[in-house]
Amino acid sequence: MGALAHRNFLKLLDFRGEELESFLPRWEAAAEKIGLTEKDVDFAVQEWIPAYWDTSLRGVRLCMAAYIRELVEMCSLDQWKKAGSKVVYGIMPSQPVCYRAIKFAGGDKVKISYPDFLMASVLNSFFNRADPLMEDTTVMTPRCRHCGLNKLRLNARRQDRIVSPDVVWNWGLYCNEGPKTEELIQCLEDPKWSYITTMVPHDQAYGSHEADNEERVQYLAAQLEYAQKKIGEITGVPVEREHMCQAIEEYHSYIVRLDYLNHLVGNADPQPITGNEITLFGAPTGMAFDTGFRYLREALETMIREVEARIAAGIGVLPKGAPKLGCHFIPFCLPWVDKAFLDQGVSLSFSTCFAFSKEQLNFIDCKNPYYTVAKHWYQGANAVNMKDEANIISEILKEYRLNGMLYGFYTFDRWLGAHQKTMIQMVEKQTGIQHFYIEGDFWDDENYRIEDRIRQIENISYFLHMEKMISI
Amino acid sequence: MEAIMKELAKQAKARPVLLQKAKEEGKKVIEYTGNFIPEEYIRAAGAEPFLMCRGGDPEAPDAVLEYMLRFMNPLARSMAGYWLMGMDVVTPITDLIVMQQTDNHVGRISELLEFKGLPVFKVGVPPDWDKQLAVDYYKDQLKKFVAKMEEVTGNKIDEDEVRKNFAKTNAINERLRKISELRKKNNPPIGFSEFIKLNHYSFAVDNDVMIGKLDELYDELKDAPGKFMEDCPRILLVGHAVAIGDYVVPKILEDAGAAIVADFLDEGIRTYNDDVALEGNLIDNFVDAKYVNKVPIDIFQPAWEQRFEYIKKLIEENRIDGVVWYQLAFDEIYDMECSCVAKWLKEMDMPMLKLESSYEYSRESMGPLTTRLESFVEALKGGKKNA
Repeated sequence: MGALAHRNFLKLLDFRGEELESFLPRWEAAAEKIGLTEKDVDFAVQEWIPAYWDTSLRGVRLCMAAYIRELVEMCSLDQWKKAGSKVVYGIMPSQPVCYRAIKFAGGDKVKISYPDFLMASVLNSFFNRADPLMEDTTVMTPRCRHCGLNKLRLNARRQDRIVSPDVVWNWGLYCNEGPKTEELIQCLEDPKWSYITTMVPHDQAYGSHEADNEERVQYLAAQLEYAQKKIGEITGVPVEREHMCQAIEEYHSYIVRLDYLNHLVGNADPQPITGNEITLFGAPTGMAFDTGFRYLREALETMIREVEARIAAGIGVLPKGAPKLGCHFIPFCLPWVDKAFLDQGVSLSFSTCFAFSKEQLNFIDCKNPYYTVAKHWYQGANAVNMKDEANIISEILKEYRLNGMLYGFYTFDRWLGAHQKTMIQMVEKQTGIQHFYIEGDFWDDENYRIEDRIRQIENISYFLHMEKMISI
Repeated sequence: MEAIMKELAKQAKARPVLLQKAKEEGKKVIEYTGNFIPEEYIRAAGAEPFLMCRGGDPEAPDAVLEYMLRFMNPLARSMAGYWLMGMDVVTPITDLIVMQQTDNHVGRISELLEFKGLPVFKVGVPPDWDKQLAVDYYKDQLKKFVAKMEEVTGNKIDEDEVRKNFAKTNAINERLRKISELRKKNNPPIGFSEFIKLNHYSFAVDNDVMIGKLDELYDELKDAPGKFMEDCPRILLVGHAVAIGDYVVPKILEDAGAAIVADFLDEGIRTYNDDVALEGNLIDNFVDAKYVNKVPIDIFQPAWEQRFEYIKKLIEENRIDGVVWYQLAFDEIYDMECSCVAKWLKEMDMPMLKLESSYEYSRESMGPLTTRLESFVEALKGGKKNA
């Protein structure tokens, strides 16, 4: 097997010729760094990836390759540091603009990375091997239900799989645990683990549209600008308005095309690609790649062309008329969930988490870029009060043809996961779309038995089929 | 002490009746949560404040499960749970519930109350307390809170009236500090079980009455004999909160022969070490005393190293033999801090016991809980003998 497994893996992702030869040793080093053995890679090539990812689609292959390129970049950060580059980590949830602006300002003088999100996505989705980085029974105790990403970040540092950055910019704008994990790492593992937080209390009146609250938007903008300035002082690379604008335009052009793909997939019957596959393209809107949007954009455009072709040919992952479920965030890190639904004749079609409101798509203003980022943040559904969230999601859902929505998988998150059972009642009322809830953990499902999850999936699927038949 | 405690308990229990009466007389009733809401402004607005911090029953947290994730701390869940169960006599008559927004547990529970149609007003308390931006934000939130009080009551708040109220709470703090000092004696005349109740009563009993009763109590206790066994283990209790009604753990510890002589809790207790200055701008003074200059609560950032320095100070000043970390179930941030504290205490050779409470004190749970606590106390006793 040997290095062949690595070579086969890269070939599967469309690496060819000189690029394959030059990238292979870097990938092998990266795989070793994050704890992937050749056996793991071979298992992925032979079994895991074929089971959950349609690599006959070039867009999928290119997108997976974009993640791998970014992972290899992350694993070489120690070399960049030695060569004098500064390292800035970002943490999901955030929005890539501010981090990408750092890159526009500094080029390779500053390297950016989202190590936990990247590793969780790659290791879970492509290799089923994130467990060793999420297992910890002493520091973040399992019964307390901590976030897999935070556990992974802590353990990756403990196991020396990631370098200590010059600074982490942590947006604690959803949960409390994300930013506190930086403090935990600093206190327990690495006194040099330096961080800056951007936090705003969740204190808005129920039902208020937070994006319309100028005071609130201005406060977040001030917090972002403050953090960016501090980071500039650490890296020695000040970020100017023009860099922010470049990043806004780059991001905006990506989400506009992603939104187009969402609509293609969400409204096509039969559905041309799986939920896992579309989520691959959505997830990078919650993190910034050091390698930028270049590879992702190529993958996205390829995917769009392939999806259009499949729609024209009437090709789908399930027969025409199969029920479709939207999700908050299709659990692509547990790719068997999507597959289990498909096996039951139901497709997961898109994630509201990576669908954009009209406000977000239409608002772009570079005069005050931090204000723009802040406004965009509150125009989205996740950071705002429950009723505002329900209203935003209801508006988005009106644009899709769905038979239901699936929520859950957020037992670790006291912001995103805590209120879902109530919030979905409000969306159901506004849209008439039936919602389902499965308790689970998006990143780390070790507390749940797969058999139980499959049984719930079978029940939901059965219900959807029956409802469809009865309504006909 | 027993008679005073009984009297205070009686008055505290009668608080809802007084609130109902006040309501009938046209007064407004304002519930609030936590230490970042200055109740002095509620009083100065002519309204009656009521602290929402009840816990210790397993049914109340369970009552919210239809609406909320089950992995939320039981104190936050109880805030809505008692009301959902119909076991809350104050919330149905309240005119406003002012909820400090310090973490997502209470944040989402606030939204559940709003979803159910209750009048909620949120006060944002930024966790990044060492930034001027955050300090200004909190001050601004408090100004909005004051404006809301005026709106709800229809009364213009008189600054002098606020000052008078702060003077009274400072007076209560001073007396609690004096009583707490008595816990430093080799054999304290008062235990934590009484001390935490004094704190709880002080939120419910008329301030002037409370001041008088605390004076009486101090006079009685200052030369009183100790209430514990000689040379019993001395414990520091650290955690999020010992809620009103959640008295099981302290009682077991004290029954097992330990004295909880110091505490470090973030809620459900008066911040009695931090008086508000009475000169100048009172909002600024309140923010300085309770936000800027106070030892940060667990959720604030950065906090844990500074908090541990304070824990070390308490250990030293109170000659502590062991620390009990009292954590509410699913309180993820406390769980993380506990790992730091455990490591640092281990480096000091200071024994620590971590307890998690889901307010489940059934017969099945009590056996193992009591055994753990008793074993810990016995180990501390053994350690003392060997020393």
